[in-house]
Amino acid sequence: MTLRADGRLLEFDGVSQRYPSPTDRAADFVAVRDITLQIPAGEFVSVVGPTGCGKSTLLSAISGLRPASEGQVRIGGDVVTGIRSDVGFIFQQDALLPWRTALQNVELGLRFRGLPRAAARDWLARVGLAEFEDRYPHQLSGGMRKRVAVASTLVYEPDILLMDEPFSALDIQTRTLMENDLLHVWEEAGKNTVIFVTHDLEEAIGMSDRILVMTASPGRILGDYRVDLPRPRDLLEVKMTDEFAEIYRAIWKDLSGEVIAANKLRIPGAVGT
Amino acid sequence: MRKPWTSRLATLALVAAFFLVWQVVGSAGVTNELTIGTPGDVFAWIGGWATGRYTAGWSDLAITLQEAVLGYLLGTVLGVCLAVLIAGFEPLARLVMPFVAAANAVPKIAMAPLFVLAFGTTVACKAYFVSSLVVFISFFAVFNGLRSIDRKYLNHVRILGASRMWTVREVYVPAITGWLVTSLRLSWSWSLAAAVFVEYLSSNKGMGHVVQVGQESLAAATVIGALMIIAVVAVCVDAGLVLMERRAEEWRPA
Amino acid sequence: MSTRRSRAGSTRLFLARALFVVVLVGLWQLAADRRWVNANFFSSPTDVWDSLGSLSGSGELWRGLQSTVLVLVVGWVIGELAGLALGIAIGLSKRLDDILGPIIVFANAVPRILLLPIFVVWYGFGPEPKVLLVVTVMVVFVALNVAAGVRDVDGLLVQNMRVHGANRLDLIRHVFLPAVALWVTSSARVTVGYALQATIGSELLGAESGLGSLISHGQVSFKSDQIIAVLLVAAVLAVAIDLLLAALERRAVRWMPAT
Repeated sequence: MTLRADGRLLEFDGVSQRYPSPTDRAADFVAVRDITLQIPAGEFVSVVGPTGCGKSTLLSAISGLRPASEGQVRIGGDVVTGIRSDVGFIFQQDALLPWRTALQNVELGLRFRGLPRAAARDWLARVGLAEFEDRYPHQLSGGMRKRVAVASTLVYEPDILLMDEPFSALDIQTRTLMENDLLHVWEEAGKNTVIFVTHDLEEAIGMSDRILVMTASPGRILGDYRVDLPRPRDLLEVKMTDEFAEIYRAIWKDLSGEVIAANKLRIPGAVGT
Repeated sequence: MRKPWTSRLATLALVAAFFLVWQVVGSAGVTNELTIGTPGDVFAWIGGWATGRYTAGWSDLAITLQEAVLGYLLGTVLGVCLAVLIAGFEPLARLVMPFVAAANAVPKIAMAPLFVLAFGTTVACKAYFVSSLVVFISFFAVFNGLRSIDRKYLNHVRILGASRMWTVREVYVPAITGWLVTSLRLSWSWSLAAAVFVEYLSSNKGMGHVVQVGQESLAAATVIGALMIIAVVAVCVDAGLVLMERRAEEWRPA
Repeated sequence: MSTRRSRAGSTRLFLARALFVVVLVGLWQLAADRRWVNANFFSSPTDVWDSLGSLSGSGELWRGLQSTVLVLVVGWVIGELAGLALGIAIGLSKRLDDILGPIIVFANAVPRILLLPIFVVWYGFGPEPKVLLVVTVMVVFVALNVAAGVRDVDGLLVQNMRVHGANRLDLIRHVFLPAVALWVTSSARVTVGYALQATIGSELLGAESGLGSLISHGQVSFKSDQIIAVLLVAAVLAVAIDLLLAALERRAVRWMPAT
């Protein structure tokens, strides 16, 4: 695996995120607890875990939208204390500005940084939307809006790309297409570090170099798996291989227990309990 | 979807029937209490008005429009400033919002006599009165606009690296503009109505004055004719505003 | 503990608001005494208070209030009913909407409060022209919104009812009327505001009774204290109605999920 030579290490050092309760400290909601890990530059890492396990909290802590309440998140040695210019974030919901056209949305990050806007047009073309420059978000399909979101983030070349279930609202065919295209543009862009939060284990394995499995709330890292499938990958083909099935089985064993715990279910004689 | 031509025809027929019945009933003089004029009289009066035969004609209309537009601008600017100030400073909002809401519940049209007493029969008097109505409309439009901005857009532009100034320009301003444009038509309809209303109460110029004189001399054709002119102006400007709104709101899903 | 803290917070907020009012009234009195402001416009708190006393002592205020509330209620009920009927009709029938729609949109753009002089020419200075004005102001607004509400009813809901065997009448009764009733409740505060505006406006333009005519008397006799006193009463009336309707609305929409 080749990593970006100039890239910087992303480190979690004893990170917890506590949402204070207005009444007393014992009732604080702890979203994630005591996370320590290192992610080398250029790695595509997926985070899976049951609903509400704090996956999105991790992303907020990296992006600086809500810095960690305890411990440190460091990017290339710098502690994250606020919004950073070298991090991109693609949200689950559409967050494109509805009053800006597709092209204008892609230009935003460049304008904020005072960079020339020429790259925007090129990136819109790379995600396959050259002909839709002047459309407003409501005139695009859900998949197209996601493509605009991807372009508007990659255009300013962030070192770290955070994605919070970006494709979960899309139908299954559009989704597979998007996943393939994302891998393609990511490889073409020279591999930013990606932290990809998802519910979908197949999606995670297909796309990632590494998969982190989190426990039910409060979230901790339960498992850390390598996915050594060769790149460039074609997701449809990858899913048919034996290696894929093997990794899937191993991770699912961890994950299913946590999902059952998160749903507070008791199933007599179930596997994985 | 296009309307069937029969429907358009039916609309026209309905309007024509209305004028016909009006003409017949009006000229038959069913009761002398029911002074409704006739469409013939009314249109004759409007023709005379347009050529300046009975009154100051177009200059009355110009004065009314001047009052409405001045009041509209003043009220909007004031409303936007107050809204930005109050919405931007949470403790202030918590302190004064109940009073603003109570003031908004006052039937503001009833404040007209106060303005007449204080400022006499000047154009400024009418403009102030108009602005006192418009200020509430624009205030609430902008205040609600600022309050309803979705956090996800703010997060998105912050992550993209927007500074405070950029955030204002890219998120706050478009959001406010949308609400302001939406409130524009309401503000305008109140502006014109308020200007004519206060002219009617006390004035020696303007369309409201024409109506008032007509009413005193029990000339139904004058009253109805003058009101028709105002109505046509109101509808024309409203149609213009609708076009503007469409342009400004192109990004908004239908 | 949290309740105690928040109660302390709300007490503080209440005190701050009370202080705000006291400071405002104090400044008003000071400005009036020192003649910093136009006395024709601002009068002074003491004069307004005296005026309130004499108006209520002579009974004029109560007679005026009674007359205003009567016109308001009668006009609002008729306007709401007429608007509902028209709105449901054009909401359900595409054809009727095509025919009447342009006329209603036109009527909506006309400042209808200005029609009062015509109504006065017809009916004289009794309560009829005032009620008619309130109805005219309301009916277009209500009809347009009810029609939009009817068209907005979830198509899936209608289909589901159809599958269950509902005919057109059942649909109106079980789907459209409840949807419209919700709109009537939630918009009552706005529509009553319009109706009050129209009522007082019409009294001002020519009437022998009501709060508006008291204001008009104040103008003729150059008594801004009387105008402000009556305005305050009108404001209290408006706020009282608003609070009442808000309480009713909360009861009526209890089944809705909180947003």
